[in-house]
Amino acid sequence: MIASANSNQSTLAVHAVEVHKIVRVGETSLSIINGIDLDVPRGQMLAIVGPSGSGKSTLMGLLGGLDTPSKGRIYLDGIDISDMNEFHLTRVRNEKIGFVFQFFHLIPTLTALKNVALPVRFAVNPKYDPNDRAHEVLTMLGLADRTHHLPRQLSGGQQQRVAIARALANDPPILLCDEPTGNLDTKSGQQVINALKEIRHNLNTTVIVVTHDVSIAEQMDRVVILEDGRLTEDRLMNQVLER
Amino acid sequence: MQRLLFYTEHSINDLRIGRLRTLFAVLCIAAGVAAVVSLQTLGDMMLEKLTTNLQELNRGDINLIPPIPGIERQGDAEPAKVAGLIEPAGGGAFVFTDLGIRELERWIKDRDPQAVVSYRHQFARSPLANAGLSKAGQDETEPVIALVIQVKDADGNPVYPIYGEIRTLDGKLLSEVMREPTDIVVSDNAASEHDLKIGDQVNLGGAGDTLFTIRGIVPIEAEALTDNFVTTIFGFYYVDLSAVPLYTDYDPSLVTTDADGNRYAGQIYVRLSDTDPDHVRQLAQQLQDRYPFVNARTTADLRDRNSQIATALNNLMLIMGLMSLLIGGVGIINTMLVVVARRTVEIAVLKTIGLQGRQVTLLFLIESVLMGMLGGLVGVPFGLFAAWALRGFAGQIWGIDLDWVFSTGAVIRGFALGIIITTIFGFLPTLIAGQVRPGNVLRPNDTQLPSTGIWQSLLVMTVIFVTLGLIAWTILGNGISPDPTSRWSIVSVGAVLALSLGMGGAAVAAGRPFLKRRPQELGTRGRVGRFLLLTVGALFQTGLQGVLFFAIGIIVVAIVVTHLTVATALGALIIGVVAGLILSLHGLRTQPTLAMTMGGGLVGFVFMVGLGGAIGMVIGWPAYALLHQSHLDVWQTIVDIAMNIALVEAALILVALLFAVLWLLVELTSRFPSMGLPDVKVSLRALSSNRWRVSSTLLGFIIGVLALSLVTMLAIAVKRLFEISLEDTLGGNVFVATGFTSEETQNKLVNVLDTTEGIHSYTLVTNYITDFVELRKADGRVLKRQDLIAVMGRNVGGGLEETNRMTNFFDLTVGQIDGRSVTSTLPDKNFNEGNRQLNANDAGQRVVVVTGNEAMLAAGIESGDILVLEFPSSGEILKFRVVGVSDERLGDIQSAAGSPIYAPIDAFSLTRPNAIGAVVDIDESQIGHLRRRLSTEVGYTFVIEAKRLSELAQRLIDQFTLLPFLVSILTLITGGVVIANSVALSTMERRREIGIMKSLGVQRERVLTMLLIENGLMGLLGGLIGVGASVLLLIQIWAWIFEGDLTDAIPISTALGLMALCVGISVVAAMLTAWGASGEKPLNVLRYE
Repeated sequence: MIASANSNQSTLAVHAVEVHKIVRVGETSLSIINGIDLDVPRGQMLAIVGPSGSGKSTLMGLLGGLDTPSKGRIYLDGIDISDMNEFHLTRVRNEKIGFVFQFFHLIPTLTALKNVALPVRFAVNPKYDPNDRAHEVLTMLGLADRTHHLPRQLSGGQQQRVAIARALANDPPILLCDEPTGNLDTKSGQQVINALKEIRHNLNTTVIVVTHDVSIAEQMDRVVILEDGRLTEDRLMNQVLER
Repeated sequence: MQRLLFYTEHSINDLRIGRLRTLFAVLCIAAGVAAVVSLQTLGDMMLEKLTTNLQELNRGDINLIPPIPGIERQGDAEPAKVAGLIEPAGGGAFVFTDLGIRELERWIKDRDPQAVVSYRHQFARSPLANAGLSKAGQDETEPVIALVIQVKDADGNPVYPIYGEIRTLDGKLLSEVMREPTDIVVSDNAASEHDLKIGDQVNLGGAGDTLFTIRGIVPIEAEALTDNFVTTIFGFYYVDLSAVPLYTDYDPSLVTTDADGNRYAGQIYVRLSDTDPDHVRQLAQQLQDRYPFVNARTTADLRDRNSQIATALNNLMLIMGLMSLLIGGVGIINTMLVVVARRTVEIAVLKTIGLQGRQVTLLFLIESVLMGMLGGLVGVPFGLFAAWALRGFAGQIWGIDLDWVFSTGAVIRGFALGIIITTIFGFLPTLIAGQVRPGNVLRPNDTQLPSTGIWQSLLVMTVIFVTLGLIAWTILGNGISPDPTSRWSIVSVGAVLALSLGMGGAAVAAGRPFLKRRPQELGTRGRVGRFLLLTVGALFQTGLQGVLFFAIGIIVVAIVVTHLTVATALGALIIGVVAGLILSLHGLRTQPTLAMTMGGGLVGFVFMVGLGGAIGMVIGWPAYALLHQSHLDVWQTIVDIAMNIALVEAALILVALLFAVLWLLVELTSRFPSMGLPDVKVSLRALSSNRWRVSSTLLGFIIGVLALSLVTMLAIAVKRLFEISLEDTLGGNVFVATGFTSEETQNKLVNVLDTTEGIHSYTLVTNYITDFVELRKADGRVLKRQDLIAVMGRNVGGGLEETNRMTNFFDLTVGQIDGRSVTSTLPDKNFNEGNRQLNANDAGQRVVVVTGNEAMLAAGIESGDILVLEFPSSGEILKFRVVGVSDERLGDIQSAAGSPIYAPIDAFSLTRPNAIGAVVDIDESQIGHLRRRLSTEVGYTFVIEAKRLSELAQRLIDQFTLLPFLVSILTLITGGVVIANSVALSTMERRREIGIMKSLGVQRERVLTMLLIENGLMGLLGGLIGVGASVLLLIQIWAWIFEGDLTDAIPISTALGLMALCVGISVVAAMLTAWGASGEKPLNVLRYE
């Protein structure tokens, strides 16, 4: 078993215990995730790396409450989401998690401001006024002059920053990023990573990044490597660097 | 609220970005809304026409009508006839005599001295028998209705009409232009038909050589809206009472005054000084109590009657319009499914950021509601424009000038129904949207739609049934409900539950994972179950495919074999079933899951229908027991709603079966050999990959095609049938009627017919007005009219309405008798065993052949009975022995061409006929010569060709088919738009495929060709099925009428034309939408799709 970086559960943003995911394809069952244990402390930046088909996206889906594990337990910010129904999972996603995707996935018909305001608008107990909050987050990410632009009127880097702003709108403790720089040039990609670092620094948000890009992984606090649905390596970057 | 604004804004943006897709979806609904609005507006215009100016329509505050079949009255006509107040006028109808007119006038004036009384008389019941008009110096006589009116009263004041006014086309009143007895005014349709102008001189049937002058032309509407609908077909002329003595050639009982100056009237009009509705009603009631044979119709009665007619018409229009809208709904389902499929990632994103499934559903539902609203906004003006355009056309055919009415009700109903239908049809795809899993966001290439769960499907079904059921309830009310006080009403509750549970059971059963397992995964019991379900499924498939091949086979047979018979049709059916069986067996091997699912669904359906029916009865009994006495209105409402929901469910089951047939057909078509042509191969595969959408689009299109082809082909077929049966019935191609009834006339007529060249044969026909006295049965029983009414009542099931209808039909049948020469051609009739046609040995015998129409069969008249008839013109009573009751299936049409009963011409003793005529089989080239000889040697005669009669019949058919024709055109337009929508969606979905093809070097024209082949095939399928189904129905009708001989049953050229139209519509629809898609730059598509 791979040791967790921090075993104190109350300070953990993510606490996954013996997680399995088995899917049925036609007549056969495929085991995608095979008994993963993973603890991520608050404020940590974690990179999940691994080859294609290793189960990265499935793991991210499980950690983000997009799917439920076949076996094992997952705690997000201390809440057990393993057996939650879709209704409660949706609420958890809205309040506890921000998602950033490789292809941005902004709503093409809404302006940057409205895209960012969306999670606040659909919060059960909104902490902010949707538009004010959207302005605030967009300004924080240097997009104050792009609030009324539609996604197609923005560059790739700007679109990804809008997506990050949207992910931060409800001030979630966890940010899950799926190849956030995969669709960007190096410069824009670095800007996005810098933005994520800044967010962690200012808001103490836990950032989990799934990536292929070693240069991105190197900038995280910690890297776990996933192969065939198992975590084969778990290293803190300072240890790696020291080594 | 903020969320709602977001949903709306988001939906509007999406609709805006969707452009072409939105446009076609909106057009689908707009076409349906336009159909509803236009038909409803037309209906409201009719309502307006029928319920305003009621005093004018009624021609008075009270309209007194003598006993006429079909018009209700309180008492029997017999006492009034005995008292001389009325006289029979043939066909069971009576006219008021001079004594009757004076008696009624006196009674009215006693109670209201200021009352004005006027009347109108129509010469003959049949315009073909005695009325006619010919231009001076010309041989041709045209049938026209003669209306004898009282233009002015004794003081010179105009009295017809006593309410409102009738003006000629140049704006003059009747009293201004009709000054002399020989001044007449003709209707505009008669004027244009016979090329008549003001100032022309004409001869009138019955008035000898007197020349009359046309002084004015009035619009047909002057009479068309009163009780004279028949005037719209033949046209009419007004002649003043003072001209009656000039009509010297008619039998006294048929004219308005006899030799002594006694008047006769078909209707008496009364204007009262106090027109308060209560007072009018009270007086009318008193009059009816005093004179029970009279129907005293007040304006209030007319309003009630016309409102009922107009409401029924309006409801019919609404149902027809709704059909278009439902077809348009198919477009909405298809569009919303594509919208959802293309936006699965967006939906997943929305779910990751916190939107619940129901919120996503609401978001998409609002989008479809907005589409419905847009459809309404576009459809309403189109509908109003269509109503405005159709107003003139409909008015022309129906003979009335419809005033433009802006119907707020029609607009609101059209708009609301558009939104409701869009919402209902958009509901399933939006529920699917709510089911999209958020995890999809991580797999953007996976755009496969999730299936709705069992509960969601049941919810959708319930919403659809209840909503459509409630809409049907608001239209049909208790029209299809059983009597709520009867125990049968419990069945309504049982039916709803049975069908609901049946469909639910089918859905649940068809979705069972068990059905998809392999035999090796199952135990012994499972394998037995699997085998049984496979058998049921295969049989079900065989049935569906058999129907399909039968339809195709019939069309092939109809095209290839000219002589189509029931045997040939049966052969096609057998071939169809065998072909279906072969395919099913093939399907069992290649797609056992399909057969299992079908079998499972069917078994589930049947089982749950039984269970639902039983539960329904268990619930229904106590509800009935509790409510039917104390709260009948509540029980009635429950029964009505339940029946309407059951109706919707039954209709949807039928639609589902049709859909299954189409699904199989599309599957079959996609397996056709491509004959080595890659374009055809790609097109066929494309059809197969979009089976759901192709089938649903075809379903909508086919309903339009079916409606149009059925109406068109049925009209053509009936016209042809009429032509055939008319010549058969008449026994010749020309009918001659004389205005005289003497023996001398008969001799002159015989002389002309014997000596005119080109006559192959002729039959002399005399016609007598009769009164039924009694029927003496072979067993000695004597049945009077009342006894026969009781017999008919029993035979038709005892319903009052049906018994009355049958009584009227009976009176009409025995109200006149023909005398026919037994040595010449007799009507071509079929007889069952024990019955026969007249023959030469019957000459001089009192034997009779009776048309075996519905009334005669219900009365139980059979060979051997003695029919006792009174002849009012002589008072003679004669007994006729029935020798044949013909085997009739066209009673109505045949009775229109001659009297339904006939005896040898020399069997009538001293009684003088009411009309003398002949049926002549003559070379067409000699008809003019015959006319001239008859005119000079016999005097006034009326010669009409069978062809001309069929023309008139065809005009009548045109009038009746106009509305269905308009509706089917509107429906087909909607079907065409649904196809265009489907093509647009299909090209949109396949932009990537098109891009790849173009990047591989395929030219734009070739891409376009593939799309056109694909859609042309779809149109051809639609045409084959739609027109084929019409052909099947026609064959059914024909087989029912002719029992085996189906020659000429199908207007093949029309059928082929309609099929070509279908292909044309779909190809044009494809061109419109595929042109742009085929021209896309491949790079653009591949990069951004």
